[in-house]
Amino acid sequence: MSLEHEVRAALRPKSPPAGFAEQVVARARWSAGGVRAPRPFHAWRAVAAALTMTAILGGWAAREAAQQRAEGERVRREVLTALRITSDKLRAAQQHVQQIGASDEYE
Amino acid sequence: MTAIVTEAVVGNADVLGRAREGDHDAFAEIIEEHQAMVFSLAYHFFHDRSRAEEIAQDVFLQLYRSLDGLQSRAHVLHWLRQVTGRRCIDQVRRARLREVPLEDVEPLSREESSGDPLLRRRLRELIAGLPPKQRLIVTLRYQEDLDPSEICRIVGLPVNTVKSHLHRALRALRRQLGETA
Repeated sequence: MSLEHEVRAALRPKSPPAGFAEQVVARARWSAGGVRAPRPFHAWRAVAAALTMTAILGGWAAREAAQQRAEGERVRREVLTALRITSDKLRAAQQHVQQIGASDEYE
Repeated sequence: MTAIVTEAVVGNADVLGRAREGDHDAFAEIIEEHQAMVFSLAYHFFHDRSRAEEIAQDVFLQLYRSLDGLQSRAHVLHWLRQVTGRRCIDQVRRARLREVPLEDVEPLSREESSGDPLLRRRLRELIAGLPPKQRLIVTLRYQEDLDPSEICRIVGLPVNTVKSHLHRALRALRRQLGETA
């Protein structure tokens, strides 16, 4: 009998142990669970997301309020300045009128 | 006949499609179709059942992750042969083989009662002792009954190199058998 014939007979395919396919499928299911399954819901994630959103919105609102306060203060200062200028001019005009009145009395 | 062949091809293509969509029963069908080939390639390479089982499991898990890229039954078969061969060669490169434990030495099976079972066992031991590339090429040639032009596509070597490895392997086996006879 030829060597090639004997080698072919020696290398005849053999079956793996019983339950081989089931074991592989179980491992595949397990690995798929880690890769393809939807991520489980975690309450702490929702709380963390809510806190982050609150912090962002709160910060934005505080910044807006501070800007509005600064704008109000600026407008108030401008109005006061305008009033002061007006008041000074009125006072000067009043003094000028009084001086004119006084000079008329002496004449 | 044509109808039967067409039905078989469509059926298998459907199995691949279902497996790709995550149907584990379909994937189990693919494993059952190819498990003997993959296990035997690794077993004849290492002459070690537990190592062969471990490699075969890893190959099928890799197949599971690669299903999206495989288009047909023939593609799956070629892929499995190629990946099993590569894994066997890689394992040899990574570590020198340990001695085969006694419990892993296969008992004589009923199918070997014809012919010379001792000669076949001796041949398996001698094949497991060949250089890794020769071992893989001999296994693909005589277990899978592939010709050198098919083997060269799996191992990524020129066809003449494959023929040369085969020739040298058979010469070595013949010489070693002569020495032990």
